[in-house]
Amino acid sequence: MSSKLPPPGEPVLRVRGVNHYFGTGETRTQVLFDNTLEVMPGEMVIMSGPSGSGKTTILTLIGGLRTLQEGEIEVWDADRGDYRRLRGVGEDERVSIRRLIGFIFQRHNLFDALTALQNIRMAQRLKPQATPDPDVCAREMLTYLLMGETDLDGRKQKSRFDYKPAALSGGQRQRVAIARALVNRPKLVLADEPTAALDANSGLAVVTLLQELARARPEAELRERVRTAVQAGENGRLAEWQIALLKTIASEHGTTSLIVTHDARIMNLADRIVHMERGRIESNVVVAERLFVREGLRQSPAFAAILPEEQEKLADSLLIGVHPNDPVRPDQLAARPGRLEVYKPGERIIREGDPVNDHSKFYLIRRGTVEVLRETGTATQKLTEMGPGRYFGEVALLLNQPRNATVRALTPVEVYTIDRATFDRYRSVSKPFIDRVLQNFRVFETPRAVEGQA
Amino acid sequence: MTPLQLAWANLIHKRTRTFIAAAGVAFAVTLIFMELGLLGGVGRTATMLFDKLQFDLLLTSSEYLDLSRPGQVPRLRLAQAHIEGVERVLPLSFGAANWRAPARRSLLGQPIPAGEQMSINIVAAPPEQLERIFTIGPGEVFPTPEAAHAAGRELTQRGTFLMDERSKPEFGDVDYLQRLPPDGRDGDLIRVNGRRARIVGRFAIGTGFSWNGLLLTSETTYEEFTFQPSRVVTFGLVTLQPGADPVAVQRRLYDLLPPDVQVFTRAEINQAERNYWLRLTSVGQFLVVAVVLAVVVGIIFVYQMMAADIRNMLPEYATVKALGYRSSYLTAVVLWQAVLLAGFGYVPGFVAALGFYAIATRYGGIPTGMTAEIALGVLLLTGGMCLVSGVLALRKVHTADPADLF
Repeated sequence: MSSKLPPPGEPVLRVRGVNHYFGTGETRTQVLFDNTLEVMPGEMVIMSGPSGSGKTTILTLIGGLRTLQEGEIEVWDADRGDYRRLRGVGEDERVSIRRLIGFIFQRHNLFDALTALQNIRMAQRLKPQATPDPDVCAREMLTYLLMGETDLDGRKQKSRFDYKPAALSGGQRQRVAIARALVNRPKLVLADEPTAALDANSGLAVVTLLQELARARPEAELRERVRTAVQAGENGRLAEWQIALLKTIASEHGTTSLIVTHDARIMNLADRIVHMERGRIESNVVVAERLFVREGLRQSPAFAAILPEEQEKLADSLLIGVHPNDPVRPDQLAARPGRLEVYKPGERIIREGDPVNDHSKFYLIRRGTVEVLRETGTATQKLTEMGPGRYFGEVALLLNQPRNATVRALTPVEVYTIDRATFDRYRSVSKPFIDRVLQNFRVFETPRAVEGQA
Repeated sequence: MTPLQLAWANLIHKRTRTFIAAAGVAFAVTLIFMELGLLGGVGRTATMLFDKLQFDLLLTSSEYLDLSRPGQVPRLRLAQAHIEGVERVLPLSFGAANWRAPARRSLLGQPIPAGEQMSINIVAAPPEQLERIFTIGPGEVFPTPEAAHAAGRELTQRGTFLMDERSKPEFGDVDYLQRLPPDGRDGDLIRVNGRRARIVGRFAIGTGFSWNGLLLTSETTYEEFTFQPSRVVTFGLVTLQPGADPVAVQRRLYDLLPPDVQVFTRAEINQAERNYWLRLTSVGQFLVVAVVLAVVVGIIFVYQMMAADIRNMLPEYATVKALGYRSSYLTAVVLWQAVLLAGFGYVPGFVAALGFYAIATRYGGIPTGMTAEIALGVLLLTGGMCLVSGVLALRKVHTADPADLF
């Protein structure tokens, strides 16, 4: 089967300027306001936000379950190798787009009249060119989800393949629904609280499967989840045989999932967290980028003057929503101006001797390599080269001295920037607290000085 | 899962609901069968007398409307009709009379005293010609020509009648009636139009919507008992010579005879009788209306069951849509369900109808019977009925909105 991923740096899902209204005439109310979102292949995206914030509405729009009113949504069709637009298309086109997507609903909605396998067959029937033996495929999926003939500890158990929903527990029904959603290996999964009804072990199995479908994990990483019940606690555990089966089931990767959940076990594994409030996407954070920027800032002594939580806010104000492994596109740059600068090889970023003012910046290298040069009389001396995660220009934040070196891009370079005014704003919030701590510290160390003040 | 498989699984899973729905269909099917059976019975009894007579062409009065208002044909016309190609023309008279019933017992065993007045019909024919006028054979009017001949000899006495053994039971058992002496010695006697009469034998034609009992007698006795002048008869039964073309003879008879008579071929008179009963009397119209009502009741019942089922399954149907099935799939599921219900209801309805037909024929005196036309017609009607219910229920299934699932 030929399934193609989008070109490098291009998303599998593109949401642009989406507005949505419920009702008509006087009762017409806007529920979504200018939502824009891009999701990259293989990302696990958590949608968070209070109920009524529009998470589900946006999921139904993406899934083609609702007519798109304003804005544009494009979904990557891996079989065609092209995007499918959801704006202004008829019911027929929306139905065929739905076949690209695996839906996991909070309520399982299985057919009462059909057995577990037959319910899964309902989904398989829509993909005629799928696996040669759909029955084996469905059984593998259910077995992995602990409904086959083997239980977690490798003991024989009665399989639930031919049970009707009425004879299954709530968690088992939910697992059948999940198998039904994933059996066609959709490249996009939309899920609403998929693990809410599940016990810890099957919840972990589901999450691990979604992760593995997203991208292959090293076996060592998976094997960490094989542990004793005591070690596992509430986090659940996998069986050794499940890992082998997982590799068979998830032979293809690049599945992207959008999950509405409050389950902390999943939240911790997210690649991207989209937070919505009152119909707007308030934040759209790539977890890896946030870690990258926070870590980068923490290294610089300049930020010792800023409280940890203020440091995090400052870091978040720099994020552009692109994984640090991926180059940034001009349109992404334009969407969040003043956070990132891009330089071509040979371009100078700062020049030795430039004066420093409120607009001078601190730089954190996101991608590429720079060289640091200093004039020594007549010659130019190369001090060092620096790569991603390193910073420069911190002197400008603290002192009013001119730049003491030149920094030039060796490769294409992307740098996060903070100007001094911004830095000072965060420092001024932190200063009273830090001063008080320091004061207490001094009281303890040199009581006389305090007495002198008094 | 094809739509048929899903529909089947659905019906099998919800046994109680399916059973009730099928019972509703079966009820409607039985009603339709009964009414169509009766309608067929009306058609069959309409031509019952003619089916039992031997003729190629039938001479009637130009005023002939149906058996109860047949008009009169001058006896002279029978002789005039004896043209080339005609073998013979025999007279037959048909009329009504009063019947004084003998004592009998009701169905529940209550004694009913003698003397009740009832209407009975009389067929009159020349006694020596009985075997040439009536059909002969097993299940026919007379079992053998000898029997007809013997009966004819009995009828040559005045005041004697043959009794139709298929008359309604309230006219009395033929054996009992035959044993009654005409002078009323045993405290019971038979009167026809107030005159003492004697039953001397039996024949077999049957009852229908026009008459409940039938007597056969000679022309002489008929004239005496009904005061009909001997110069008129009701029908002339024309038998053609072998090889003669009925239509050509019919045309020549029309040319030759005065306009106070009509000449029917067998097909024409049968058609005219059926048309009269099915179109012109309220019996036929009533039965057609009853069929329509049964279908409407069936449609409403099946629709109710299907709509309730769909309402329960809306989330499942919405999920089917979310999976990426087109609306046509749901349409097919619902319509298959309707067709299967039709099948589930038809089979018991058919069996029940066979039982009711037997009862109607045996105790109701209406010759109903299952024919391939009725069986197939009702099957199609049942399928159509359930499909209409299905189509009505479709509007419900298409309200399944996958956007409500999240």
